[in-house]
Amino acid sequence: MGLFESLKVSASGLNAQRRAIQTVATNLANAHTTRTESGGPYLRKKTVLSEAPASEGFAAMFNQKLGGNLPGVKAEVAEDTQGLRVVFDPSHPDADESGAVTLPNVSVVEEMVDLLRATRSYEANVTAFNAAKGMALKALEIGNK
Amino acid sequence: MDKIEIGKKLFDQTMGTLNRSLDVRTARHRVLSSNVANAETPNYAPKDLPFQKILERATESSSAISLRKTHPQHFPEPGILTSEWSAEVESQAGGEGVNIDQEMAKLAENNLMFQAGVQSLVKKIEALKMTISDGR
Repeated sequence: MGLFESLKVSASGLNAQRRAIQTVATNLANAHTTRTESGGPYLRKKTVLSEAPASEGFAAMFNQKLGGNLPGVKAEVAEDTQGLRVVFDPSHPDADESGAVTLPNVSVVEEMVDLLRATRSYEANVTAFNAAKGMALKALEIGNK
Repeated sequence: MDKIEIGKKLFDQTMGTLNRSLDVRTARHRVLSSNVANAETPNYAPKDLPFQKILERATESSSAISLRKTHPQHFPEPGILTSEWSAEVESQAGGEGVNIDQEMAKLAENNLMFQAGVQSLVKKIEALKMTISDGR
């Protein structure tokens, strides 16, 4: 399906990276949350990327017949249960009898690194998207003069 | 000059080759943008489409299904169908995954070469038009 298929693949990349950025935002906002709906401290969310067809249904089938589907990408969110921090703070309302408070396993530094990585990836996808758009526009110039 | 000669000269090799090269560039762009989208997917093997090889094959008009010519003045059939490219996609499994700098460079190169192809085609058509209008 030519360039339109490329646009869809790049769009799936943009979508996945935007979700990664949202996940980072959630983690940063909840870096010190000790109370959650399910009880206990907040658990860090992780973005897991995997290959996925860029188009669905009829379009996917059609492309398969035309020349094989090249994968886009999709993002899923998983919870990280490892590495909860326990600190001594008897004045904290959520401290147990021994004065220990369990804090979320969010490392602000790590989140910032993830944020930068996702932003750069997003930009790379924007470049690929613009290149496809430029190619399509340029092709319209054939026979235009 | 008879009619066949004129037909061959008007729609000669240059136009056909350029046409097919644009097709291959489009297909390659699709492969490369898939690599960029999957730059961070674990266990993803980057893919590429060897332009030279494909174009060589595309310009040899040895397609399996040929159009039937019922008149000697029929134009030669166009090149291969898109489906035959999917088999040519090279996958580099077991490597270090996607090298984003390399992919972006390939993307830019492919984009520029596409633009150059279009430009040549535009010039070709301009020349034809110039001839048709008696050079005015």
